[in-house]
Amino acid sequence: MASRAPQRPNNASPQGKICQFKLVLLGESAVGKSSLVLRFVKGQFHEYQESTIGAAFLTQTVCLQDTTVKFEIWDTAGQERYHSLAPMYYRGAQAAIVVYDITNQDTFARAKTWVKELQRQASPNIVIALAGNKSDLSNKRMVDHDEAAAYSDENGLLFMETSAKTAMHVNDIFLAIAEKLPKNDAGGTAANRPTSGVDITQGGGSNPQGGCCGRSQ
Amino acid sequence: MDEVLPEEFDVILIGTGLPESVLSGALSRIGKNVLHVDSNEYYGGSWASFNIKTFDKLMSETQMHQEDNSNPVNLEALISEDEEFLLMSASQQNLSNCQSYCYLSKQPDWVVATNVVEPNVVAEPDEVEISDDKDSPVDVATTAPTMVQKHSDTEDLSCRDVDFEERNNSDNDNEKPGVSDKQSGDPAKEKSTDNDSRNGQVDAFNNATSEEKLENASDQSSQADLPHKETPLFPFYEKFYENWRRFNLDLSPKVMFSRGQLVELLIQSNVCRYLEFRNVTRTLTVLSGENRLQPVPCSRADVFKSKFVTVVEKRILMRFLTLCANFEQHPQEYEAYKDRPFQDFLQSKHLSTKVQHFIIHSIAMVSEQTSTMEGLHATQKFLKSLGRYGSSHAFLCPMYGVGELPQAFSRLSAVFGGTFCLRRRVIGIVADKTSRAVKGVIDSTGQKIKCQHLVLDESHLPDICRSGFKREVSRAIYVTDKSVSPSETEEVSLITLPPVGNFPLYRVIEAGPLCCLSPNNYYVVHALTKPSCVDENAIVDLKETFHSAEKTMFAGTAAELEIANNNESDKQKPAVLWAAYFNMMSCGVNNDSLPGNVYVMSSPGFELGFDKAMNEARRTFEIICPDEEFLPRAPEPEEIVFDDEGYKSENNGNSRENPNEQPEAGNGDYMETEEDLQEEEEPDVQGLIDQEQGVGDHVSDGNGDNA
Repeated sequence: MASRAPQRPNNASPQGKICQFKLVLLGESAVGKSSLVLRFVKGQFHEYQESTIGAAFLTQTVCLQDTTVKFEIWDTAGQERYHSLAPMYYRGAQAAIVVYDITNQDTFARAKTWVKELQRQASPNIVIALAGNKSDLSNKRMVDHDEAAAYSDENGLLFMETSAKTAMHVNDIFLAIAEKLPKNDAGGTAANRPTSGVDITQGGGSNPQGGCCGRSQ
Repeated sequence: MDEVLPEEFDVILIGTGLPESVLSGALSRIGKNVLHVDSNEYYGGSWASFNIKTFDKLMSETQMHQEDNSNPVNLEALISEDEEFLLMSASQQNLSNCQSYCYLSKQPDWVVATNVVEPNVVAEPDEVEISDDKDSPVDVATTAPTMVQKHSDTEDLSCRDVDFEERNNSDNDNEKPGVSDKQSGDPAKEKSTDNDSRNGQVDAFNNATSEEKLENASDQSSQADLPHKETPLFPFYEKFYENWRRFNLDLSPKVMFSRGQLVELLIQSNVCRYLEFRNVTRTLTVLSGENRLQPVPCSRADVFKSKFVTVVEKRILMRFLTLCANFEQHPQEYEAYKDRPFQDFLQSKHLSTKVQHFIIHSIAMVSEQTSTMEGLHATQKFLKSLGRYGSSHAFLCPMYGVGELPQAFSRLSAVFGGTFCLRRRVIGIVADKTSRAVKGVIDSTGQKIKCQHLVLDESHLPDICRSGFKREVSRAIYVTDKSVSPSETEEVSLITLPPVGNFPLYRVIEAGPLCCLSPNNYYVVHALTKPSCVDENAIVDLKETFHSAEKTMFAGTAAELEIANNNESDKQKPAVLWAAYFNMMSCGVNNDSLPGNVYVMSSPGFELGFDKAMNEARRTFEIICPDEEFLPRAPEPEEIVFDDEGYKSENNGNSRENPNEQPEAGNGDYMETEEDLQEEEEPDVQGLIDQEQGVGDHVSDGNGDNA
């Protein structure tokens, strides 16, 4: 499992396959990243959303036909505000939603730079979705739908216009990502590196044979 | 993007090194309003990890005085009459004597060039153009003193990522068989370009002070006239740099004691959620008079397996380790040696020279002259960590390098509301004239930001609070083509090379793709030693400093080995493909001139673990927030309370039933009392005694002061 928190192999599950994926949100401040997550995870919307949630990440599961996809959703925690997001944030992410605000052209330009950044720095198989948020404010629209759709096509991104406020396409975009993610036997391991490291929460010291180290010699 | 920061904070932290980041996380966690700034564009300061291209750039730039391009700030307007202004030093001299070398040949230019007779002539203007529209690097690269300009291709490296990629892509395109076939028919061109491609290395050697290297260089020039070998021993320079992003090279490599403070804090605070870890899988050393790395038997299993110690030695060693695990309970055993050297004590216990070596250098990791008390504490600390995450493992290291740690604690701080701003330089501190307390800072945009407390890393001290720089650690980093001691599975190694002759003790950490420190088939070797030179201003050739370590661990550089192609003798040892050398600096703090509400965090030193940094963060936290808990547990995602609907609780319920769910962190699982620790630890050591002797002078529990 390639998420930061080491997991047991997913295919160990007796009742159908469960895959866990790390999904990161990116985009300019105030485009609605946290609102999208809260809509998806909680089904809620707050007009004046606090910019921080106080959580390492939130989780939500999506059921596909034969697989359950569990998203570990990482919010920027406001570190994007002064362009100070740590690379650790998107390390090992298997999916990303890059969010812009359809009423603000600058946020679309910024979204493109995030896409570029991901294509350079993230794992090569990362599934990227572009979300044009605040689609309920279409009378203030500054970013053309077709332009964003064409850009997404060119770059192999999933694309939807979303509204955290009305819930339009919010579940859909997560579902589309879930469907596109590779769910092979490795339990959705997208990154090309060996299985997970040591789970340091598992070392009580009572097991000197070191069942958790996974690499007996 | 907001440029203007809020005007007032409880605490401002400058520098995102590990102790500052831990403190930042702890302060935000309990609700303090925190601003965390760094003048760099990256997290971590002296604790950062870099990809190899950034590292090359860092090595070529650090000795240059960094020009400040920002507009002068009108201080008069910002500082009132009852305030004074302490100017912050413009340069952060935390690295010195920096050099980096790549020992690989460039790809023969016939592969790259198409219609060009003299490929270099074309390449150069191109490179300048690429770099020209960037903000800084070209001038730096071209005006850098030769001392720094070791790298054969610094201009290339100063290009930004995209340019570099484009170049790589074009190289790749030209690698298509058709292209190379067409070009390879021209031997004259092949010859001349081969020569060109080697110039870089010759330069590197010429710049090295060692005479031996100069000889090699001339050998190499003559060698360069020969036709190119069919199968090169090493990857080409271009091939090597293709995966430059997959290197994570630490400025300050360290390992985590499995029961050290950092591990406890990571678990307790749930910050471990952001990170992944690997075990250090083996400990190696070189016994005196030998030139070969040997595994050090640490655990019971190791000792039994070890081919290097006799049965008698095993028994004595295990008895000794049992004593060390609870030495406080047996004062009569060491009373007489308390203030005498550890080595004397070891001798009194009839340990053989070899076993003494293992204990002093690889288990306690002290010196022969360390006092017995200190040695016992150090041994106990090691034994406590042993077996927590695997029977013969005492240490962990973060994947992707040490630089992930400050980022993880910074994220904790941000999650709890901390404001982060990289690329923001604080030009000075505003203090009250009468009380001498800090009232705030002024940044390079001319903004005045108020605070109650100010935390600085050492390199950001105002000039008047400094008392001189000194070399704290001498460092070398090598990228090699195989492990220093190849084995069936990939290992993470901690190596101690004891002092030999005039050469000092070296501490070495080797890791590779498993820890995501390098791409597949490459290894990263970090070497550290304590600087010996007293004159802090002297230019030191660190290559000389590390000569003995290199001789022990490596067959030679790729450039050397290519010349001595048929030398079979050292086939087992790795070749050095790339190397960097530098000193980490530290500066003294002049406490008299330091305002009372300013706290200074030290630079990473020679110490192997992170306890010093953790102590510093904790102590400072306790001063700022005397009655608060240091890094209490942050909630699990499942625990985030969603006010009302059943919809949420259903989700929570699902995930809790999820068979793949991790057991909750932060529960009693790891929070044993000292008694528990002892009980769990003893069977390891005790078991051996039982097996070996059939008897066990069982020791009751004790509590160890984790020195």
